[in-house]
Amino acid sequence: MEKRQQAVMIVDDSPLNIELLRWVLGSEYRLIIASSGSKALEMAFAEIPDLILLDVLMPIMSGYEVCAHLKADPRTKNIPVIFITSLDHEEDEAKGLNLGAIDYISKPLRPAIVRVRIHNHLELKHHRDLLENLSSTDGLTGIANRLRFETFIKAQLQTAAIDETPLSLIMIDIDHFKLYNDCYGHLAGDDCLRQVAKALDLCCARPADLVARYGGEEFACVLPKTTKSVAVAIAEQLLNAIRCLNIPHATSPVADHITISAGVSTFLPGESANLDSGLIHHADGLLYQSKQKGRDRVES
Amino acid sequence: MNREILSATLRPEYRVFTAADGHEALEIADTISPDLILLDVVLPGMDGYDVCARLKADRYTRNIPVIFLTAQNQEKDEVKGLGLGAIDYIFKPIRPAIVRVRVRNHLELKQYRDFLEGLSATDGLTEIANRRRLDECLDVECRRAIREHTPLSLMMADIDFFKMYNDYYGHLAGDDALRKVARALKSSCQRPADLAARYGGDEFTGILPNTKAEGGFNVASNFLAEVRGLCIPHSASPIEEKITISIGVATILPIPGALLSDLVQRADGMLYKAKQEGRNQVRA
Repeated sequence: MEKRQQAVMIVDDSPLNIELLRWVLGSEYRLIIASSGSKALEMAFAEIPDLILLDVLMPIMSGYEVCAHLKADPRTKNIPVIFITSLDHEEDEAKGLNLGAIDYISKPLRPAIVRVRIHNHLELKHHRDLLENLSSTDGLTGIANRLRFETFIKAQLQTAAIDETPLSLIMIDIDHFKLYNDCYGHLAGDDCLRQVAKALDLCCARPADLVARYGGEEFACVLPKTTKSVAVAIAEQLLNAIRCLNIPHATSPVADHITISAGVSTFLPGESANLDSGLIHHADGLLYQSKQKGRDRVES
Repeated sequence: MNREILSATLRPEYRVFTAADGHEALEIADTISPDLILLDVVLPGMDGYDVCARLKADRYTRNIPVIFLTAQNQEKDEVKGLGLGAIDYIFKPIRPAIVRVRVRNHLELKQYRDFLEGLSATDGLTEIANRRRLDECLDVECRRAIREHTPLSLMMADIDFFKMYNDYYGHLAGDDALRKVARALKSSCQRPADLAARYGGDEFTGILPNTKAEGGFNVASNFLAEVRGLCIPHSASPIEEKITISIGVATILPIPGALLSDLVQRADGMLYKAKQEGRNQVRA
């Protein structure tokens, strides 16, 4: 994963302090400025910064309250928070740290110290992001893994139920992949999986779609806000994309190249949304049917 | 004196190890791999900065958070300590309430990172090592075998007629069978250096460091017997009434230039042979 520019949010009601921190941090990070506690929460949820520098004494909502809100919300609870404040009593520091802040820096600011502390916390954050990314991608193909698929489809079903929009799922299986492995060996099999994953991922290119490796040679495409007829058209495109890869498969009874079968199932508004396993099961059943009916085809 | 205060502050919640100088600290860090290190700057012999630099230079200890806890309260000292990669720098005198909560917060982050590291190396379904961890481990063990002049064995296993099992019993039952086979593999590869991993769909791999061909064959035979012993009914299998596996084993001897891909390919070839010759058997 390439290292992107990290975003630091500064929360302070004093323009002078903001300017000072801006000067200290320089141009290394993207800065997000919030001048009150409520603005800070709003922007934190919208932008998910990598680190938050938080003043304690602010009118209406104090820094302590902001920190408590951030730590209570699953979207923001893993963002490191550093208090920067003129309150330098031991009990103030203990209070801030007890709310889950990772550091508490007393004013007056010493630029070199602030810079290196922020740098170190952002390094750790970057490392955590890398690991989060690794734990949600499939090691072999680089696309989303089963865990990510399951989290994603659950969340999307909830959204679909709330927004009253359809949600489609395509379950895919490579035809006679076992025979392919037996004929060409596992290393070639791995290569084939990578090519198929890449082609599926390229083909399902709308930003909201997710292509995941579901199991050995099974893949799944989650298509939010997509009706059945559109999903079937996408599935046909996927089949075609794999045919076009033209990966030789001499022992396949279906064709002389690699092909896939697909099952398409659609969640409609009004259905019970907590049945993600129902949707998967249904698509899986249709996939099975398309295999029974000769493979290299879509059933819906 | 300081060590005693710190021990008393932290001991109720954590296992605490103390070191009187830098060398001892490095030795303990290397052997017990603590979750956090509190480090003084002024130490007899090697100073705390040196210790920190060495910890951060070693891949086995670099991810352990280091907190300096010291009477050196000049700004340049603090910048130096933090610049070496310490995550915190606390001045003495020790304020137990502050030390306790700072330590707790850093340990929480460490725990989250450990969790993610585990997640990214584990197969979600079977909870044994995943493909990523397998590839890393294979690479490391292959180098070690050549360096230490020890043989390395690899077994590749495949569930017989698993496709038919899935078609007959459904995917949920299939997942369940995979979990059971994975557990059997894990109990067959039980020496500390062995690694049991899921290679792909119904394929499993065991890495057996410091193991000759004969030893590899024995481990594989155990695994085969374990799976048979599970007695998972498989009515659709043409060869048995229960789930069986086929295994291929390959061994490399420590010759420089011995290739990792050769090892995988040969184990794969042996697995293919086991399947050609009727399945439910080991070929080495």
